[in-house]
Amino acid sequence: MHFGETDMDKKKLVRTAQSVLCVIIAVMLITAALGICREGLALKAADPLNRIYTREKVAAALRPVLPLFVISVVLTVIGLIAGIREEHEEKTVHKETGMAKGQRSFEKNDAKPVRLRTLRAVLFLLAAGLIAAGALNGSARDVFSKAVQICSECIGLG
Amino acid sequence: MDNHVTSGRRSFRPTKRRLIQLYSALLHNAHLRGFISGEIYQGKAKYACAPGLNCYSCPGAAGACPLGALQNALASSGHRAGWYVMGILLLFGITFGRTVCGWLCPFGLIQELMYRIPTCKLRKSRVTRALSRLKYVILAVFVVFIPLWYGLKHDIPVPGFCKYICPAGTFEGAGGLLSNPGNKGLFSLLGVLFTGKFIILVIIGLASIFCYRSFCRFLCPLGAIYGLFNRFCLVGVRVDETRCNGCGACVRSCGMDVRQAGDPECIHCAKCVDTCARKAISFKAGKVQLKGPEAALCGSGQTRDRKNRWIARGLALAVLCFALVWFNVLDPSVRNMQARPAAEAAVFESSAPVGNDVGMQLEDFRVTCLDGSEFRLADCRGKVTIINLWATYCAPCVQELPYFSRLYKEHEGDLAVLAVHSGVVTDDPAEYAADKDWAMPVAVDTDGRIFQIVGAGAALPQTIVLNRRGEVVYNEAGSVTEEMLTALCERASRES
Repeated sequence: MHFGETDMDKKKLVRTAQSVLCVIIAVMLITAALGICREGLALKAADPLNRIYTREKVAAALRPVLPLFVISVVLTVIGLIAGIREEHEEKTVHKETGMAKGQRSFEKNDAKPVRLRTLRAVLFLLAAGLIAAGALNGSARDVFSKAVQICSECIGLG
Repeated sequence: MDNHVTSGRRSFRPTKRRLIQLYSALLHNAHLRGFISGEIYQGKAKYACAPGLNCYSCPGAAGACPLGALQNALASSGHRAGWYVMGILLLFGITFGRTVCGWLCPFGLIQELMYRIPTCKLRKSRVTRALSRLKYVILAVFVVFIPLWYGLKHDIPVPGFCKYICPAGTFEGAGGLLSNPGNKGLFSLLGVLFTGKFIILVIIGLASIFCYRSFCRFLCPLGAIYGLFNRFCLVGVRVDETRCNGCGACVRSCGMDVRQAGDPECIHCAKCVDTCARKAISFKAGKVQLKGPEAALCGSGQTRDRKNRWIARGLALAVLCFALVWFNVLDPSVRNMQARPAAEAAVFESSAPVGNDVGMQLEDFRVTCLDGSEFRLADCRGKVTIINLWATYCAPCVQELPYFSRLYKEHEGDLAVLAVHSGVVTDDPAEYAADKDWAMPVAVDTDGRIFQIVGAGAALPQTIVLNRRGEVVYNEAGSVTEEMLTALCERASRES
């Protein structure tokens, strides 16, 4: 399935429909999360052992989003088959012209290679030194100990 | 019509960069069995940080997240300097710079795939350029200031960016764990913090659909760190000034907010190499040209080049196969996980079977506490018993332990409390506990036996409440409030 050049309106229609769908899905997800949280907090206030989120509540909240998600996936497939793409052309070029930038970088990078190689070598040595020092002072162990436990707070579980 | 078919097929053909991104995402998450079992990888490879933003609590993650590790290093800088993480970041920075973002980062790949959804797009402008500075503010406030402040002032490790913003943690870590049916107990942890982070994830996801790599461009502190090395990193885009006429075509065609190829905003995706009509841009690793005008060789050079490419592909494939076999089959930690014994079904004097689920009788154990006393579970019969699993490097654990201490002081005759530190030790728990002046006994589970008996997962803290008969009334991971603890004790007391 392909749209020719004269089918710009169809492409625009797919894009607009998909944009609206994405926004609706996002709004529904946010509203569902806020709803579950508000309701759960009220339940928890009554009995501290009550849970705010449960699997059932989450499943019930996701049910209305599912058909929209399926439509969105279908539209995405149609868009990919039709080759709807976006290039990153910017609206305005930076005030400084491309020519000026080229000249400036040319002037700046005149005596670069030797200094650059020295800087890289120094930084490589420094990195190796820091890693070795870290292995000795126990900070490597810190990284390991944090990485092998689920950090419930870090991933937003609470 | 033929042209249309060809262009349609071409649009499906992945670019080399996309293949490398997929390859890297697979290597970052080589512990594939974690997605099925719902458990995270706990082997020695987690000593090493992965270059990209990939949450270490993701069930598939084979390495540590450099950003999470940096925050924890800063938070514990009162005890020891985090030289190791700094060295790793410096090494990745000087070698790759933001090439990591463009070619290796799994979260960058996710954003690029989301951007492929055909919607109206927001193009880059002065506003997006101004917003691209926001990531430096986030780096300073959430990655550096908050962990340092809480770490030095309150001795509590708070990874500010992970806790309040990181969408990779919410998507890969929380999403990966919660979507597994085996982790339904984790739902008990979810609350206001999760709601906030979920909303942030949805907003960032939506932004990524409409705006190219919006998280990388505006928010990612790891990109901000790597960007500092962009001008002198070993692998990256280079501009041949003798050929460049400064037309600015590279800047216009770029999705990032660059001012010139190779600046701190450039992710070295090398798209501009094809755009440059003057053939002034190339993608190099030191002196070796990986992509560029001079890569088109002829004769023997071309044959050698083709041979080298096949060798590189073969090596890459071998590394991937080895990683997949190692992280899913051969690694000792994975084999231990498989060999973990199931709870014995033996029955003691109580009618409840031995196990760690609610209603079961917890298996007896004894442990020597840090003050030299001995704690034996069987001796606690007749009392409500609370066991709390904690670690010095777990902020929620440290924050909730005073509740246990207070409760223990108030009901010492009728309540037994034991705080068990994980066998993975960074700071000395004895020194730490002495500092805090907690009333209840504290022990370290050096051989992991207590953690095994109570059925501890990888998530901390975990609280287990037993009634007077030693039967489990409550056994869940996650923080508890003082009110919850009181209610649990009352329930345990009633059930006895």
